[in-house]
Amino acid sequence: MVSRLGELTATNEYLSPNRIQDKTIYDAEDIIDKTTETKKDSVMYNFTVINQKSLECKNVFIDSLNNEVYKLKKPIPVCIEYDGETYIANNYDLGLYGYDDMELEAIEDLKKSIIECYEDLKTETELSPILKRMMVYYKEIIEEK
Amino acid sequence: MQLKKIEAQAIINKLQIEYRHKKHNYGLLRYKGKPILSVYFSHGRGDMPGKVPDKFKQSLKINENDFENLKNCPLSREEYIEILKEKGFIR
Repeated sequence: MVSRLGELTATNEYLSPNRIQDKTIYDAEDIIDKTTETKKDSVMYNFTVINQKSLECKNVFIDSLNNEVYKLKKPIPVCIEYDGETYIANNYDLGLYGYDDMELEAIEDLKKSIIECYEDLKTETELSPILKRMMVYYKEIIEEK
Repeated sequence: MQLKKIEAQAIINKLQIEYRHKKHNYGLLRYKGKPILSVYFSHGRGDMPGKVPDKFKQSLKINENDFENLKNCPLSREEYIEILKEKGFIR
Protein backbone atom coordinates (compact mmCIF):
# COMPACT_ATOMS: atom_id res chain seq x y z
CA MET A 1 0.00 0.00 0.00
CA VAL A 2 1.42 3.37 -0.97
CA SER A 3 1.19 5.97 1.77
CA ARG A 4 -0.46 9.16 0.58
CA LEU A 5 1.09 10.96 3.51
CA GLY A 6 4.50 9.99 2.26
CA GLU A 7 3.97 11.62 -1.11
CA LEU A 8 3.58 15.14 0.23
CA THR A 9 6.16 17.73 1.12
CA ALA A 10 5.91 21.31 2.34
CA THR A 11 8.48 24.02 1.80
CA ASN A 12 7.93 25.70 5.15
CA GLU A 13 8.01 22.59 7.28
CA TYR A 14 10.81 20.85 9.06
CA LEU A 15 10.83 17.14 8.81
CA SER A 16 11.39 15.95 12.30
CA PRO A 17 14.65 13.98 12.59
CA ASN A 18 14.05 10.51 13.91
CA ARG A 19 10.85 11.56 15.58
CA ILE A 20 8.67 8.62 16.31
CA GLN A 21 4.92 8.81 16.39
CA ASP A 22 4.49 9.07 20.12
CA LYS A 23 0.91 9.95 20.82
CA THR A 24 -2.25 9.02 19.02
CA ILE A 25 -5.61 9.21 20.73
CA TYR A 26 -8.13 6.53 19.94
CA ASP A 27 -11.57 5.94 21.33
CA ALA A 28 -11.77 3.47 24.17
CA GLU A 29 -13.96 1.16 22.16
CA ASP A 30 -11.64 1.15 19.17
CA ILE A 31 -9.76 -2.05 18.59
CA ILE A 32 -6.23 -1.59 17.34
CA ASP A 33 -5.67 -4.56 15.09
CA LYS A 34 -2.22 -3.79 13.78
CA THR A 35 0.39 -1.04 13.84
CA THR A 36 3.37 -0.85 11.56
CA GLU A 37 6.08 1.78 11.40
CA THR A 38 8.25 2.69 8.46
CA LYS A 39 11.03 5.22 8.23
CA LYS A 40 11.71 7.29 5.13
CA ASP A 41 13.73 10.51 4.78
CA SER A 42 14.04 10.78 8.57
CA VAL A 43 10.27 10.78 9.05
CA MET A 44 8.63 7.96 10.94
CA TYR A 45 5.32 6.97 9.41
CA ASN A 46 2.85 5.08 11.51
CA PHE A 47 0.22 2.92 9.88
CA THR A 48 -2.49 1.63 12.19
CA VAL A 49 -5.51 -0.52 11.50
CA ILE A 50 -8.39 0.29 13.84
CA ASN A 51 -11.59 -1.71 13.56
CA GLN A 52 -10.28 -2.81 10.16
CA LYS A 53 -10.04 0.82 9.00
CA SER A 54 -6.62 2.27 8.33
CA LEU A 55 -5.24 5.39 9.99
CA GLU A 56 -1.91 6.80 8.90
CA CYS A 57 -0.01 9.28 11.05
CA LYS A 58 3.13 11.29 10.69
CA ASN A 59 4.77 14.04 12.70
CA VAL A 60 6.23 17.18 11.19
CA PHE A 61 7.25 20.58 12.53
CA ILE A 62 5.93 23.89 11.21
CA ASP A 63 7.92 27.08 11.63
CA SER A 64 5.51 29.61 10.17
CA LEU A 65 1.90 30.68 10.62
CA ASN A 66 1.72 32.33 7.19
CA ASN A 67 0.25 35.39 8.85
CA GLU A 68 0.99 39.11 8.52
CA VAL A 69 0.67 39.83 12.23
CA TYR A 70 1.92 36.77 14.08
CA LYS A 71 4.94 34.53 13.80
CA LEU A 72 6.24 31.50 15.62
CA LYS A 73 9.18 31.88 17.99
CA LYS A 74 10.11 28.25 17.44
CA PRO A 75 8.91 25.32 15.33
CA ILE A 76 5.94 23.47 16.76
CA PRO A 77 5.03 19.79 16.26
CA VAL A 78 2.07 18.80 14.15
CA CYS A 79 0.71 15.26 13.97
CA ILE A 80 -1.05 14.60 10.68
CA GLU A 81 -3.59 11.80 10.56
CA TYR A 82 -5.09 10.42 7.37
CA ASP A 83 -7.99 7.96 7.50
CA GLY A 84 -8.37 7.47 3.77
CA GLU A 85 -10.76 10.38 3.49
CA THR A 86 -9.63 13.35 5.54
CA TYR A 87 -6.34 14.81 6.73
CA ILE A 88 -6.43 16.08 10.30
CA ALA A 89 -3.52 18.24 11.48
CA ASN A 90 -3.25 18.20 15.27
CA ASN A 91 -1.18 20.16 17.75
CA TYR A 92 -1.57 18.26 20.99
CA ASP A 93 0.12 20.91 23.15
CA LEU A 94 -2.64 23.38 22.33
CA GLY A 95 -5.33 20.76 21.79
CA LEU A 96 -6.15 22.33 18.43
CA TYR A 97 -6.66 20.80 15.01
CA GLY A 98 -7.57 21.61 11.45
CA TYR A 99 -8.81 19.40 8.66
CA ASP A 100 -9.28 19.17 4.94
CA ASP A 101 -9.15 16.62 2.15
CA MET A 102 -5.70 18.02 1.23
CA GLU A 103 -2.80 17.68 3.63
CA LEU A 104 -1.39 21.19 3.24
CA GLU A 105 -4.86 22.71 3.55
CA ALA A 106 -5.37 20.80 6.79
CA ILE A 107 -2.14 22.37 8.10
CA GLU A 108 -3.33 25.80 6.94
CA ASP A 109 -6.64 25.20 8.73
CA LEU A 110 -4.69 24.37 11.90
CA LYS A 111 -2.61 27.55 11.54
CA LYS A 112 -5.82 29.58 11.18
CA SER A 113 -7.20 27.90 14.30
CA ILE A 114 -4.00 28.64 16.26
CA ILE A 115 -4.24 32.34 15.41
CA GLU A 116 -7.99 32.64 16.00
CA CYS A 117 -7.78 30.92 19.34
CA TYR A 118 -4.84 33.10 20.42
CA GLU A 119 -6.70 36.26 19.43
CA ASP A 120 -9.72 35.10 21.42
CA LEU A 121 -7.73 34.28 24.54
CA LYS A 122 -5.29 37.20 24.66
CA THR A 123 -8.10 39.69 25.26
CA GLU A 124 -9.51 37.71 28.20
CA THR A 125 -8.54 38.70 31.72
CA GLU A 126 -9.69 35.57 33.52
CA LEU A 127 -9.21 32.08 32.12
CA SER A 128 -10.05 28.55 33.20
CA PRO A 129 -7.13 26.27 34.20
CA ILE A 130 -7.03 24.54 30.81
CA LEU A 131 -7.05 27.83 28.90
CA LYS A 132 -4.38 29.26 31.23
CA ARG A 133 -2.15 26.35 30.28
CA MET A 134 -2.83 27.08 26.63
CA MET A 135 -1.82 30.71 27.10
CA VAL A 136 1.41 29.69 28.84
CA TYR A 137 2.29 27.60 25.81
CA TYR A 138 1.15 30.33 23.43
CA LYS A 139 3.57 32.75 25.09
CA GLU A 140 6.37 30.27 24.46
CA ILE A 141 5.65 29.89 20.78
CA ILE A 142 3.93 32.96 19.33
CA GLU A 143 4.75 36.66 19.00
CA GLU A 144 3.70 39.65 16.97
CA LYS A 145 5.95 40.64 14.07
CA MET B 1 -19.02 8.00 14.78
CA GLN B 2 -20.98 10.08 12.31
CA LEU B 3 -22.10 13.63 12.88
CA LYS B 4 -23.76 16.07 10.57
CA LYS B 5 -22.64 19.68 10.75
CA ILE B 6 -26.22 20.68 11.47
CA GLU B 7 -26.17 18.38 14.53
CA ALA B 8 -22.87 19.91 15.64
CA GLN B 9 -24.39 23.36 15.17
CA ALA B 10 -27.32 22.33 17.40
CA ILE B 11 -24.84 21.28 20.11
CA ILE B 12 -22.96 24.57 19.74
CA ASN B 13 -26.23 26.48 20.08
CA LYS B 14 -27.39 24.45 23.07
CA LEU B 15 -24.11 24.97 24.92
CA GLN B 16 -24.15 28.68 23.97
CA ILE B 17 -20.64 28.54 22.57
CA GLU B 18 -19.69 31.94 21.19
CA TYR B 19 -17.83 32.53 17.95
CA ARG B 20 -16.20 35.91 17.52
CA HIS B 21 -16.73 35.70 13.78
CA LYS B 22 -19.02 33.54 11.64
CA LYS B 23 -16.07 32.23 9.66
CA HIS B 24 -14.00 31.34 12.71
CA ASN B 25 -13.24 27.72 13.52
CA TYR B 26 -12.92 28.13 17.28
CA GLY B 27 -15.41 29.43 19.77
CA LEU B 28 -15.38 29.79 23.54
CA LEU B 29 -17.62 28.11 26.06
CA ARG B 30 -18.23 30.54 28.90
CA TYR B 31 -19.43 29.97 32.42
CA LYS B 32 -20.32 33.00 34.51
CA GLY B 33 -18.63 35.13 31.87
CA LYS B 34 -15.32 33.29 32.15
CA PRO B 35 -14.01 31.31 29.15
CA ILE B 36 -13.75 27.63 30.01
CA LEU B 37 -13.08 25.71 26.80
CA SER B 38 -12.10 26.38 23.25
CA VAL B 39 -14.29 24.35 20.88
CA TYR B 40 -13.70 23.69 17.20
CA PHE B 41 -16.52 23.85 14.71
CA SER B 42 -16.28 23.97 10.94
CA HIS B 43 -19.21 25.81 9.43
CA GLY B 44 -21.03 24.56 6.36
CA ARG B 45 -23.25 21.70 5.34
CA GLY B 46 -23.07 17.93 5.13
CA ASP B 47 -21.37 15.41 7.37
CA MET B 48 -18.25 16.02 9.39
CA PRO B 49 -15.78 13.79 7.56
CA GLY B 50 -13.71 10.89 8.87
CA LYS B 51 -12.45 11.17 12.45
CA VAL B 52 -13.43 14.85 12.76
CA PRO B 53 -16.53 14.12 14.91
CA ASP B 54 -14.21 12.39 17.39
CA LYS B 55 -12.03 15.51 17.51
CA PHE B 56 -15.13 17.64 18.05
CA LYS B 57 -16.19 15.35 20.90
CA GLN B 58 -12.69 15.49 22.41
CA SER B 59 -12.71 19.30 22.32
CA LEU B 60 -15.91 19.17 24.39
CA LYS B 61 -14.07 16.97 26.96
CA ILE B 62 -16.84 14.39 27.24
CA ASN B 63 -17.12 10.66 26.62
CA GLU B 64 -19.09 8.91 23.90
CA ASN B 65 -22.15 8.34 26.10
CA ASP B 66 -22.39 11.97 27.23
CA PHE B 67 -21.79 13.12 23.67
CA GLU B 68 -24.68 11.00 22.41
CA ASN B 69 -26.87 12.47 25.15
CA LEU B 70 -25.78 15.93 24.14
CA LYS B 71 -26.54 15.18 20.49
CA ASN B 72 -29.90 13.57 21.19
CA CYS B 73 -31.00 16.35 23.53
CA PRO B 74 -31.38 14.79 27.05
CA LEU B 75 -28.19 16.49 28.29
CA SER B 76 -28.71 20.19 28.96
CA ARG B 77 -26.09 22.93 29.16
CA GLU B 78 -26.42 22.94 32.96
CA GLU B 79 -25.81 19.18 33.15
CA TYR B 80 -22.87 19.52 30.78
CA ILE B 81 -21.40 22.24 33.02
CA GLU B 82 -21.77 19.85 35.98
CA ILE B 83 -19.78 17.21 34.07
CA LEU B 84 -17.02 19.73 33.41
CA LYS B 85 -17.00 20.64 37.12
CA GLU B 86 -16.69 16.98 38.09
CA LYS B 87 -13.78 16.61 35.69
CA GLY B 88 -12.05 19.68 37.15
CA PHE B 89 -12.31 21.90 34.07
CA ILE B 90 -14.35 24.39 36.09
CA ARG B 91 -13.29 25.36 39.61
